[in-house]
Amino acid sequence: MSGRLAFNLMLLAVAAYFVWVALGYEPAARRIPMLIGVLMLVLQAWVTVKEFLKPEAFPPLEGGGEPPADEGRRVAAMFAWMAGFFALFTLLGTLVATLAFIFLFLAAGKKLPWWGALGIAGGLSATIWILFVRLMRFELYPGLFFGGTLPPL
Amino acid sequence: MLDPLLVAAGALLQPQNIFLIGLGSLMGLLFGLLPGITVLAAMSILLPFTIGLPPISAMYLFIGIMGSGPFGGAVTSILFNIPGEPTSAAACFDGYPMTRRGEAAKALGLAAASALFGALFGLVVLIGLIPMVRAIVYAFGPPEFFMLVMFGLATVAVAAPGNTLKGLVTAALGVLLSVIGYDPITGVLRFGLGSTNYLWDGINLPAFFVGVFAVGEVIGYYVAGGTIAHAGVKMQGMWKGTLEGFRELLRHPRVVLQGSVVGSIIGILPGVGGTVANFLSYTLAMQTSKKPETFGKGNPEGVIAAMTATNEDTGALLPTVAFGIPGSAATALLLGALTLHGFNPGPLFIIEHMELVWALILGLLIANIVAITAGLAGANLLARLTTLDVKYLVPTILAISLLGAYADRENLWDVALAIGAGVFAYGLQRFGFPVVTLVIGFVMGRLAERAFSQSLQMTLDPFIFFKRPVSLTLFALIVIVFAVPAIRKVMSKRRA
Repeated sequence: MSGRLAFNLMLLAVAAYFVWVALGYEPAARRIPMLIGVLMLVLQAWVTVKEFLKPEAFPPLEGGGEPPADEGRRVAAMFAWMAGFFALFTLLGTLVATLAFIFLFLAAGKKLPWWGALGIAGGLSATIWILFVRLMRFELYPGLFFGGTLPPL
Repeated sequence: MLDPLLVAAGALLQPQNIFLIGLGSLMGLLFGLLPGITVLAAMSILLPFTIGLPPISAMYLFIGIMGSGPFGGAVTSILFNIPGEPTSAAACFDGYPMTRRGEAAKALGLAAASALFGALFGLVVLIGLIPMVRAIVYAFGPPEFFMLVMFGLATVAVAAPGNTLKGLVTAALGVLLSVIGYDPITGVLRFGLGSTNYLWDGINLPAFFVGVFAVGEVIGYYVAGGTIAHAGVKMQGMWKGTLEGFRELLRHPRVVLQGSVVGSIIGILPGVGGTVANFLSYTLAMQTSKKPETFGKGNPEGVIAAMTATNEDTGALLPTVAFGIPGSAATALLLGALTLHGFNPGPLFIIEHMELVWALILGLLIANIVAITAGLAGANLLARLTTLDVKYLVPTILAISLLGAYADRENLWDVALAIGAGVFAYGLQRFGFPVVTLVIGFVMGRLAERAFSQSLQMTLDPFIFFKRPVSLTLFALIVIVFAVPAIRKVMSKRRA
């Protein structure tokens, strides 16, 4: 199954989810979600069938460039970096996560000399500390290892 | 009339007040620049510190923050496609493509001139409309507001860059995402996905914006590599480009006026807010343009429309001081500051404390000038970042943006939300679905639903939307919005 078809089917499933769940609400609460959900379902079904029968060319990247051949791999890599940052953020807190993430990204991911990567990471972490903690009085997340708790979902 | 103005102007010349308005403007600019952190945070932080100040000085401090935030937000919107403030998010759509063409300075100059003109226009409206504000507020009830939002959604879906069908899909999806959480009318928790807390108030707007704009954009940088400003494109000189931007404004008087009017009117309507004004003005400019297909590709009219409408805070001052009804979240905090100082805004407030009203008016003007001067000077430096290899920008922007998503409510899950929204937005963009309609649907969806329910509660008559002159006129405009492109298409086919 192509990525385009999978994405179209996912949007279709999202619309169906909203319509299906809205059916369980009282009339006043379901009016708009039902109406808009059915509208989206119909329109997205139209898009899916249309693109299945006659696939359109992929739009160029924002700014006009052609997408690289390994676009999927790059998106997956970026997602892995972001997931890693979130994990560091959760476990070690904002400041340590920022320092570690930027250092690792530049040194391991982009092959920058370790001292350059450490300089950029340290500079940004220090700026965040001064700006957010000292000047704006924000409470940065301390991380689960340093006494932080997970907020309720 | 003149005595209170002289009192306010005299107070403005005092060194303490000059310092406070400068401090407020710089703080507003800084908070405006940081994605996910709005000027509301700056106002909330400073609120307790104003208690010891004379009321007029406190007003200068607050209005400095309020007046400068939108331009700060526009700087990052234009340079990095990452709105610092939701109220200037629409500046991304055409400002960023201008940056990629090497016209960052022109786009920033245009944004500055538009914001300044919008503020001046808003101030004239504010002064002129104080006696008439009651009639305007009453003319726009829930049915009119519902039709106004529908009109906005219709225009953007029809004129969305790319495919109208896909534009309608993402607009609908935006509306659906906006209704997640407790329904304010019935109290039912909708589409909670099993959440026991996080989704009760719906999807957090700043975190969602950080995801869609910043994270989505960062993924794009990573995939494409290179620099933000196209390789080989010569960057304009900052001051030359800025002047060009100011001149460009004069070439689009209709859009300038239209955006200023939209911002002022939306500002007057309580509870609507600057984000809606920003997008509504953009969609209206797109619909009334002779070349709607150039929107989203660096059309200066898009920047003008988005930035002139940032004057909504000026309009929002009207119901705040005249009725004690804040027109926006920022004016709600301003109202809080006035109350802290022992004032009760309302019709009597205007009569008894006109010098404070004038202080707000003058303060807004000065704040805009300070923000634009300081912003343009600083933007010169920021604009150079667009020529840097994105490998340096990706982790930096990502870390600051995700921190912004966290800082709004200090909720860890907002970081996860921003990442998810960013990946999804990148997918939408790559498969040809316009993100602009998703964002507009999301911003306007919940407001539209609330207005719809309130309208039906008013009379229980489902035809109420067609029985009131203003809402009927707006409905007629919606029909025209859909009919005109269809007629144009038929006509061009016949000619061919």
